[in-house]
Amino acid sequence: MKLFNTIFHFEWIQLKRQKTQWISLFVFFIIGCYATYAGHRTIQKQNLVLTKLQQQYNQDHVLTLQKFTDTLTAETKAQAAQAGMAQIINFRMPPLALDHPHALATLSIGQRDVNPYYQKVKSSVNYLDQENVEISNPAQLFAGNFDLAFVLIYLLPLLIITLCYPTYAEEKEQGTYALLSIQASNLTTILNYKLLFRLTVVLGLVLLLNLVGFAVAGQQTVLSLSSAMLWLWLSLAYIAFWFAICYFFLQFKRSSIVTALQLIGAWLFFLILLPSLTNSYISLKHPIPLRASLASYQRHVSEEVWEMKPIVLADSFNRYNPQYNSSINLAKDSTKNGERFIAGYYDLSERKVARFAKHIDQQLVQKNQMAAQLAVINPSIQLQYLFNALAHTGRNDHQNFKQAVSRFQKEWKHHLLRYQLTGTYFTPAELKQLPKFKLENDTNNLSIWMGSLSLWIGTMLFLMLSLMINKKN
Amino acid sequence: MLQAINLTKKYNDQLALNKLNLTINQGDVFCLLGQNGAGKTTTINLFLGFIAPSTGQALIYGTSVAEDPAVTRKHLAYIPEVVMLYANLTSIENLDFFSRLAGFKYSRKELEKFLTTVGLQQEAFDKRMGGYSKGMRQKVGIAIALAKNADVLLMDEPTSGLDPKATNEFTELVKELGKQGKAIIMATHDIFNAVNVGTRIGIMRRGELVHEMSTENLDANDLQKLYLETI
Repeated sequence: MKLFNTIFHFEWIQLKRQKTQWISLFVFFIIGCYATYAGHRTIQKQNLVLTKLQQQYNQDHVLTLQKFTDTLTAETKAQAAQAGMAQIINFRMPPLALDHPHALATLSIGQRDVNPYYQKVKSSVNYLDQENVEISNPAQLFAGNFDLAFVLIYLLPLLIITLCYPTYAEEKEQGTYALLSIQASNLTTILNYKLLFRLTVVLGLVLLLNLVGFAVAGQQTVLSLSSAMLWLWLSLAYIAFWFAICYFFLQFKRSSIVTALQLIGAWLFFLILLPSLTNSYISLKHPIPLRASLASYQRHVSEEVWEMKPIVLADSFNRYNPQYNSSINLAKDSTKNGERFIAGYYDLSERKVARFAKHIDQQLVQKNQMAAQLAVINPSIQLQYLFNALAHTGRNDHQNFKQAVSRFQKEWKHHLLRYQLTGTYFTPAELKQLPKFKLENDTNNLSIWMGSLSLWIGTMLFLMLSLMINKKN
Repeated sequence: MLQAINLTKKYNDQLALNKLNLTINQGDVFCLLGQNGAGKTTTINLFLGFIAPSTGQALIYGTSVAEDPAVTRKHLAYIPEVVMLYANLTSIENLDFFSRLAGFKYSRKELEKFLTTVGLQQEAFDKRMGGYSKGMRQKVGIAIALAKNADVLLMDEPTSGLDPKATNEFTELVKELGKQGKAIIMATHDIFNAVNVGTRIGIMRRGELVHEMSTENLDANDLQKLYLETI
């Protein structure tokens, strides 16, 4: 403990007097703060959009209710009579599906800036709507934002490298190695403590930066303690991983220049080369399916179904939706443009296109699954996944939102159909009890804790290799 | 105290030290003379444990340096030809740091006393060593060796770069340490100083100890003559 205190005491004195070190630490802190601010601006803008959408919906709701009572003119009187019609409600106040950002989205924007985070839900689905089209380069866009996650994943290792690369070599290069080895009983312990001091400095800086991040993130949405702790845990795991890499290369006891080059090589490997290779492999294995064929198929189906005999279309609808059989009216149902014909047209078209689209979606799911599996071998990319999962800004979260929207769209459609097929109208009171979109995030913290294991395994691997080299020497 | 038994060091086919046999006892100040490459620094490095012998043994208090360097280094203090210390620390801090590593925690007064003993000006105590001259660094290096209170001092041309006054002060200090019972090996090129400070002299040539003599009744001029004939 005495030796530990001595090393930390004098390392601190030396650090205090090294302007360049302070400048690099300060610059890193400023970059981190700016990244937090940039993330804050992006999420703040999204929150503003969501608030405005909600306000607009509320206004639409009020206006729709006013239509029921506005009977001043013949025209408004006619409109009042139809104000509760299901199709009118679907047109005037389509419900909103909003994906509100998690507090940590400020720190890890993920794909939130490119993926749709709100949708006006209609009774029918257009598979070619922007909301339903996958972005074609998710891997490249994965880390495209200048947020705190980017700073921690990409820039923090560079800071660790600049602090650590001379740990052993500087003693030789400045001529203190001989005196150190004579004065101390265990030189390796001294050098390890020196490295530990640098680790403490980095931990302190990252903790400070994260606390600033939490303070900013907590301004817009409540940040839970468990999420904050998990974020810190992931930061710690990543720092440990990069220190283990530094420790590994320091075991070769090469000159500081050679060690620095080796560490920069490791940075390039984990953050540029390996992600590029895995992305290329994934793209080759699971190329992005083209949506053009879906567009053409949707047009074809639309025309084909529209040309069907109304009674056939009504039959098809009744078979798949027996809950509406009580409203069957053979006379009405055999006419084109009747309620059942329209309902049947959308029902059958959607089912046919959904079958086609399912194949494309499956390909995307497989691609995403492979990307997630391969991320485990690269702690840097794995951390991006975990940060995004924690902030609910990753691919899975978007997929989860899309599925929730899809479920809600069905619920909305059937809610309207109950009125549409029976020819009944919504009353003003019923408009207050329309189905509401709910989004439940399926990411649990346990899976993130488990995901961090790959970072610790990487750390252990490099530490074990270091010990092996140490023993060999 | 210090013993070399057939101590040999080879670098590939190059023989740096050949079967050195030497015993240095308490109070001995053994000065090693010889040209560059004669094997003086190799001998010191073998006792320090910086390099491993090819054959033979270097013993300190009967313990083999190669086998147990951690134990033998506890008895050693070392003054290299060029003392390099932490440029961002002051001389007091450097002395404090290296003393603590050796297991000694001195008060400020005690640290100042060590620096005064080696002749460092008081106004330099709290200045960062980055601005020190070679001679000043050398003095701090000597202070570090003194503060370790080791029984054995290994010095590799310690007066190189010191001015005559500082060399004289250093010589007196080494004599005093010898009187205190320390065993000292000092590699040097300064024949006159070696006669003055040493109790025994060894002249090395191409890795071999060619002559070994006591300085009692030894004249510097005679030694110079012998040295020139030997090399």
